[in-house]
Amino acid sequence: LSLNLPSWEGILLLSIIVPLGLFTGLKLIGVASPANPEMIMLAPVTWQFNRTSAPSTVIDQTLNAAYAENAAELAFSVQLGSYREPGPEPTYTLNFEINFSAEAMSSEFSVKSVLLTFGNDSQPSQIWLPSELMSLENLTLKASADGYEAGALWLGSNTQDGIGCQLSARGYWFLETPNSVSSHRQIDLQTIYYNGSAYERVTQPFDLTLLGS
Amino acid sequence: LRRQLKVFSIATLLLFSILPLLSLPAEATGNSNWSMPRPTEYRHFYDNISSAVISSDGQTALTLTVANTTYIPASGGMDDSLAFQVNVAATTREGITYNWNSPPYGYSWVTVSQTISGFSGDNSCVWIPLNFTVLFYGVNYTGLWIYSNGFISFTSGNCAATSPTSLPNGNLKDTIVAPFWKMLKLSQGGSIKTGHIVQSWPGDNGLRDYQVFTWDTIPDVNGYPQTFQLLIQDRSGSNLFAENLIYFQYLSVTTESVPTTIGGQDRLGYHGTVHSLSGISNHQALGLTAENGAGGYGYRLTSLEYRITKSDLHAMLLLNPLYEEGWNVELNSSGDKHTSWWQQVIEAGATTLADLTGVGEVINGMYLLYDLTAAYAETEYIPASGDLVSANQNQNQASGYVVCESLDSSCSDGAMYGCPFDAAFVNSVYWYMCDSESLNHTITVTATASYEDWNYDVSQVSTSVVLSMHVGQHYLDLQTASEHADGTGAQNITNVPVWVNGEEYYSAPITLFGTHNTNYTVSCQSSIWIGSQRYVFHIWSPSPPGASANPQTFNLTSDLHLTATYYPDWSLNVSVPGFGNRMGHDRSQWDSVHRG
Repeated sequence: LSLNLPSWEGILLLSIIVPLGLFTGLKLIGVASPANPEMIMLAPVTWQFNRTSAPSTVIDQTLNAAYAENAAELAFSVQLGSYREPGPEPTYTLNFEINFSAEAMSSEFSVKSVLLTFGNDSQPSQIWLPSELMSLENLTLKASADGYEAGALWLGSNTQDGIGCQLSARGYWFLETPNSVSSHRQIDLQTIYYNGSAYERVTQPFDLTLLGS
Repeated sequence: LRRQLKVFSIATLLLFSILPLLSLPAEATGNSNWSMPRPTEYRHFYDNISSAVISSDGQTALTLTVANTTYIPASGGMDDSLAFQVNVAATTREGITYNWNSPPYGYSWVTVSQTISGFSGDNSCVWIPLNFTVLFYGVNYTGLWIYSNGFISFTSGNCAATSPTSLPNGNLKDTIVAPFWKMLKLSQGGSIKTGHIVQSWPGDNGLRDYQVFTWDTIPDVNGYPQTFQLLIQDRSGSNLFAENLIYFQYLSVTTESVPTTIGGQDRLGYHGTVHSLSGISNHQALGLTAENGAGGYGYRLTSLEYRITKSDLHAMLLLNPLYEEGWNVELNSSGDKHTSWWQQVIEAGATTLADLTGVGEVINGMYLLYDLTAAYAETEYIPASGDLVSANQNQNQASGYVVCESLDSSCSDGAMYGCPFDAAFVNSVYWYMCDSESLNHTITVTATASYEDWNYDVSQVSTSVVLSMHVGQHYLDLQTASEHADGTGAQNITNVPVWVNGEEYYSAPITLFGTHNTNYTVSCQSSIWIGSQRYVFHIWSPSPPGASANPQTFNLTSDLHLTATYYPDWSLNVSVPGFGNRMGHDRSQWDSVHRG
């Protein structure tokens, strides 16, 4: 029995067909797709603040987090502004700014979505994210709303591959409880991107606690 | 001829210039302009900037209050802003008047037999629930207090205060319907009876229910028996939402010179009418009916709106959709309760109105609205459902609009007259100043109430306030303490320690003198002179913001906080860290005493 080995032309052909077939097959079953990306959960950044009855307390503190790989460098931040007494609203109020930026290190890098999620507060409170105070760079706004009790989100997808993008959202956390009550919210900044070979979903949680005094 | 034509032209021009002014509403404004230096630190002004107006047709009163002004410095990536509440409130009760007429059926005595028990002798009253709603001076009532002395009230069982007075009487603060208000001696005879009848009289358009109250042979102070009755028509059905027809009938009364009042007044004792006693005779009927808005239907509010306009591109106006509230306006279904805040807002509006001078009619009319709204807020709060439109830097107008709708269940079915007599709308607003704290900014807040008559003819009334924040002037907060102003009688007090930002820093830059009694009346005068001008203090606490009179006299009941504003071009030895260049003054002595 003689074995007819393929000619070099055949090997070349197989070297193209097999990877393409594998890639197509994997894509069909959902591997390496935006709908089923690789999950990367970053360590939460925690922050605590003692609620105070002072008329206004300037905090001006920025919580930073970053994630880098070959295709991109991601930066996440939450800047806490000031905490103030009830005034135009019947609440103690914390104002903040949330930033996300992605710097492309590869021409194939592409952000498919940016998602901002506010977790539940066990105490009555509301989040206001005025769309007028939002700015996007190389991102298209997909959905937004002005006020949330929980589950707030902004969805953005970038408009061009191979370049970075930025999202900035400024807003207010209205605490409808006395200063003696603690409030807690988890803010998740999440992005799904393609790095040239796979889809990644990176989530950066920020745990914010306002301690009752 | 040319000269005559010239004179005629000028006269015509003048006439047409004046005509629009004559047709303007009876403007009755208060502190309609507010201009303050732009701070550099957080500052809660506690100011209420208000304006009130009565429409030119006299039907509607409107107030606009910008309350709780709070300056929030730039932080958290945000520009500095002035946050405030906008409170728009209106009432069409302003135009409700009752007049006398003869009932279309004439005199037709009704005999009723149910004796009302529970009177505790002379000068007493009893609560009677009704099985229909009575609309009287724009307020719905479901029962009444019947008084032994010949009148009823829908609002109060203050049975002791029963001496007849002329109406309207603001001291009573009660609704009064008085067929024959006279000092009667129920303990010496007679009775008070009631009954419910169904009758069709001319003008009734079919069968109508009437509640009848009869004061039956009750002797007056001279022993003469008095018999008269009050009929209130149930206007449910086709005549719903109109003021109820009220009739008086006199079977046997005496009109000798004993004080007697025939009339009625609203809950505040502001609107009311009396009928002359000499015009009354036995076997006579008298109608007391609302005349405005055609047949007592009244004018009703259809919408409230506020618009904020700006002319500069370096500002934004953001209207907070999470905190908008209202009374008699369309509501969201959410059940969140912020009752205390809502009450504060209402009280702020009422307090502001009370501070205004020369607008008594508006104040009285609006007090009723605030009273009702606060009472409602005690039990229930539902956020309003207004259309809010914010303004970006390149847009020059933001607006909030809400449709009026009566919260009264009997009027909430979208029926013809479901619009309310009064309504209020409150929203919180952020005015962002998008510059490096180097520009002046001005906004105009205009409130508009739309109201309609029974023909759906819509009218509007508006009023405005102007808010300005300017740069180049800064704040200096000084504090002293009341315990240094002790003693009785007139005293001169000097060398008062002054605390600045909580620290005792400087002795007696101000002079206190003239205290007496437990609440010290203090005159405060700056001892700081700038050239030939005395440094002026603005009083912020404990009293409401006052004028800048110097010396300033006020009641001192707690620690005293003073705020001075100063100009950089004055040779004052004060500066603010971070603003030294702008101020250009010596910072060595006062660095720790001032605030931006």
